[in-house]
Amino acid sequence: MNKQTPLTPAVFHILLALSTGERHGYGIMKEVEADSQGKVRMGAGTLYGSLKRMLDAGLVVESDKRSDSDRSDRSDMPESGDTRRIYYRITGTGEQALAEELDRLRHLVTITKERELLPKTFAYGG
Amino acid sequence: MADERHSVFRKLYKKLVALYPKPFRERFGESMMQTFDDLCREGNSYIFMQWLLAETLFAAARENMLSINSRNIMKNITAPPTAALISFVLVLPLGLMFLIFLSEIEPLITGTKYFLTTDGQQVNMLGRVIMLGGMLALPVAFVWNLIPVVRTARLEGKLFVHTANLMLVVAILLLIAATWGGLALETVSCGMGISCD
Repeated sequence: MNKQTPLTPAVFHILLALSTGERHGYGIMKEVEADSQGKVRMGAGTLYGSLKRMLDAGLVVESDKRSDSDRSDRSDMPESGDTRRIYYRITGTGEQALAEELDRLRHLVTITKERELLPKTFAYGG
Repeated sequence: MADERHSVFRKLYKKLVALYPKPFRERFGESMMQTFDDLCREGNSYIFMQWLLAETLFAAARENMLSINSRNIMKNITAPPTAALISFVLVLPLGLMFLIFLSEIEPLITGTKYFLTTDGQQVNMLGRVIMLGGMLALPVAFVWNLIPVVRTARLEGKLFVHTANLMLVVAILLLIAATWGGLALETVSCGMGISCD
């Protein structure tokens, strides 16, 4: 078991957001919101505090500062936000920590299924 | 109107970012401002922006707490100027009293006796606190001041780098000899029946 796990919810969501590609701070916030179907909105304080600790732990690395216009995919950018930004990328250690956390969560879901703790799915009109 | 509100929130947010520890601010401050501008352009609600400010305030407090770990505190309080200052403050009450009685400057002696004794003879509570507290503080001040001297001597092999600390160490040692030594002599002489004042 990696010493990084269990991950805090913020770290888990950030790693999950970065698993599909490198992003800047705002991009991570939007991806976290999308991944959680709008249930998790991360503030900038939590985001950058977590990023600092993740950088120190080697879970993520900073990419070079660059302009948003350098990216072909700008779907996560609001209009006229074209400034040079630092992008963050998940590392091998980060991917391993995420995989271990997902494994831990999968194991918990299996237990809850075995104990019949998961909410029942209702079928209407039957 | 929206731009005006954005400007007010931005000013407040910038002040909150300034509350972060300096290394954090230098590393993430610009990115935090960019992210905030992105959120403003997105047209978030008034309540969300207020939540964002509150969240940043709490996060700044947390980062400040995390930046003060025990190693940093120990390193800071034993830094040569800090150690000298703390030692000086610890030694000051007893040292001052000692100097006044040693120099025999009349108005000062009378004034000191007025505050520290009852009827100029019996030492009052304040006098006892200064005497006892001061005497106990002397060894603490001595060790505290010696730490940076010994550390530099061990690391660099030089003894006379922190001259101020070294001079204070000698002064405190003399004061310890005078007060604790005087007390010990008095106890021994009283025990032997020579004199008991």
